Amino acid sequence: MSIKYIQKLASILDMLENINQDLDLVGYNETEKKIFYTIVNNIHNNKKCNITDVIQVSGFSRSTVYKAIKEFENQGLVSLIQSDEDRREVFLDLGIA
Amino acid sequence: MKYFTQVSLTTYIAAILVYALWATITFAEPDKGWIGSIVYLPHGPRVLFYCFFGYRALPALFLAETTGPALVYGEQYPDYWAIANIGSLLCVVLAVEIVKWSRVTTFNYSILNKINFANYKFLILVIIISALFNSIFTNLIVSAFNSDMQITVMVVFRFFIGDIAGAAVFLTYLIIMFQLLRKRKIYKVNDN
Repeated sequence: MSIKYIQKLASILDMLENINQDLDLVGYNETEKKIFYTIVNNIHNNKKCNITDVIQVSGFSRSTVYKAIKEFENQGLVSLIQSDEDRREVFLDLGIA
Repeated sequence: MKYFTQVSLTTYIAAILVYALWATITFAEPDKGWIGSIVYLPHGPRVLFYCFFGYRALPALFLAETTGPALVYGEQYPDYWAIANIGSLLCVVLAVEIVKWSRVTTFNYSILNKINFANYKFLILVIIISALFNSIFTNLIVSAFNSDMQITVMVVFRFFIGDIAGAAVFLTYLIIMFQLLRKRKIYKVNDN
């Protein structure tokens, strides 16, 4: 590959990185991404997901998971739905579905 | 020559893939094909590759914009759209020259000056200006060849918004893809 070609591709990546930093489109940290992926994966596999499932599967502490879910809820990525059978149980659903 | 080949291949493959994706979504329901012009994805690669690779990307862009629709429509694809495609590409060239001429990037105008598009604000400026020209000139060219076609203000406005929205969606997709590829370790989550 010619150096000029690689430089041009690198400048495209620079431009995308600059937009990303300014707009903070993918601004979640690795922990939050892993928690979100766990939620999506659980909903996909089991059709439902509660906070205990997320804590067990992701391996993060209860407070970390709660904090991340609160952030997702504020961003409209997930919504919390109270169980009809047990009012103490809360299920997670994808806000974008 | 090697650089030109690399630029042409990259541009052609990316542009034709984007066109194929856009056409697949748009022509899923042929009666509502006009909806596709609200988010015209191919405007994204058109601007991106011309801005970064310069005039060397133009032949591949023209080829992609001509062969893409020809593959979808077959023989029904009118020849005059090829002229409209040249017009669309010239709109991008003109938009880049206007950004240079405005001297917001460098303090003296020269056709040989280069803009640092890593500063994405210039790219956005080119997207908007070229979308404006494209919405007017493409419709003018098409209406000149096809007198049956009704060009209204709404059609021109739809083209303008469609080009901007399409380029925005294309860039957003690239940002997300590159971020995910760079940090792909997020996929390492234990399954039950």
